Amino acid sequence: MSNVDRTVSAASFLTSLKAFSRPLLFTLVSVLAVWSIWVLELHQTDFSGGADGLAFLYGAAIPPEMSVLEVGLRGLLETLYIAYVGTLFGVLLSLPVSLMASRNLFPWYLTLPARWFLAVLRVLPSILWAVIFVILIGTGPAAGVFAITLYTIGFIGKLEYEAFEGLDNEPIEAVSSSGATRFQVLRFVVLPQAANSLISQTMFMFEYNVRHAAAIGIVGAGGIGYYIMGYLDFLQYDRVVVLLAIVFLAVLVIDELSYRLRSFFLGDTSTSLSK
Amino acid sequence: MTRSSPPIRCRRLSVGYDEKPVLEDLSFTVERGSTVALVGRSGCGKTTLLKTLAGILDPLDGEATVLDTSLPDSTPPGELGYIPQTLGLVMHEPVLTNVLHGRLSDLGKVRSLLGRFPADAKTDARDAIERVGLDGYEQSRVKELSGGQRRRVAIARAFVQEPRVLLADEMLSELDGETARSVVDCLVSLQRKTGMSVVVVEHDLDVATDISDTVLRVGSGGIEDRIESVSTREPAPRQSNE
Repeated sequence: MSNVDRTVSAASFLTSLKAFSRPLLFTLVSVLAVWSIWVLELHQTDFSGGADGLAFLYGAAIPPEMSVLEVGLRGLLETLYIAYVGTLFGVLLSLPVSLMASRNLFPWYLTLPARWFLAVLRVLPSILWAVIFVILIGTGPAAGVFAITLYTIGFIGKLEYEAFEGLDNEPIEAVSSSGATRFQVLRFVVLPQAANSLISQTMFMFEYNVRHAAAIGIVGAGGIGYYIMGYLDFLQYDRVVVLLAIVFLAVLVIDELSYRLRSFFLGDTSTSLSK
Repeated sequence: MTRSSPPIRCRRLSVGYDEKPVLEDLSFTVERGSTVALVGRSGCGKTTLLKTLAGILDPLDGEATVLDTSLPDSTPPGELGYIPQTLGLVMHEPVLTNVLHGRLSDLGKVRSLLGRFPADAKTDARDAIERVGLDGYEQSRVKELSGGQRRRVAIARAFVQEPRVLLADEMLSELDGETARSVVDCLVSLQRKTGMSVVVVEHDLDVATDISDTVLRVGSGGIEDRIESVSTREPAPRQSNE
């Protein structure tokens, strides 16, 4: 077989592979879904006791015990502090690491360890980091702040280096070829170019951390979750429901505030489709 | 660099991407104060050559010396200016900030950290903005400007840098005739003042002939033709400071 024949047959094999790739992918996704449901025995779930359970919960939670409102607001404030400080520290500490992890800015022997470091921090969810810090430094908001900070570095660090790698390289090349140092290129070109993404990601991370700061309280890392866990231990669902409502309303308000802040920084993002 | 040695010397230079040569066996020099235009079809390798001279791509073979620096080593800070095809501007930043990027090599570590430029750099940047006809736009964000105005910002950035070698990829595209003429006039006056050498990539042979001293027609993997143009512009004093 000549080289030309080999090239033609390789090309026709690739074309046939592409033609089959969509049905193949669809089949693979379906088989994996059915397999997972089977292994987890989801198809054998017993819903027969669900109505009774709901009726019990309703009876135990309604009417809500409004006297815990003050405790709930105090807990919420602590949760917001934990999320705010954890996000701030996390974002500031993630920036140098994520810059170093960007393949368009640094050589592989720096990007690789930086990426591994960020990946290690993402291995554990914030609630498990909170468990570790509660063991290390005891219960309280400090454990929550450290847990949120570490998880934020790992999570937002990945978003940041992906944003840096997606930047237009020509401003970087234009400025660096004129003799600017690497630090100057990062300070004057890379960070300003990525500013919109960084603001957007930070706001997203803060929303995310408020929800998680509420959850990590359950393992003793402070905030409103700490009180929720306390009332759950004593089956005081009428109090738990008030605290959950506070968290729900807080997340809604933060979501709206975050949207308005993003609009303020990024300008009008509406299109003809959104009008 | 000795004053008499040409700022750009290439001998049997090969340029390309991923070890695949696009242009081979290129030999030419660019004298001090002169303008060389690279013309040729799209995709023939003009931009690849310019990027190699700018130190962005490594030469594949042969020798290239820019400002007495043998590539791929870095040229002395601030002495080489590069205007890429898409201009290389930071779109969210104001015009003044983008023009000041031409002066980054003068900035110390503390000023770099704080983002503070000295007053004389700001004055020079405002002058450069005025020279390219953008006065009044200092605080406008680049993304709010038209294509031609953005091109003038990139040119002002090169002017404020006052490099000894300017490499410009399609510097005059998107500019109307009058603005293009004013940009060429600015270029000539800068060349007269500093003895700057210029390499421009240009599609239009007539424009290339008009703005340059030498036209290198690039294609078929190398330099096809060399035209010494009888430029209509005022000649730059090539060896005036020697």
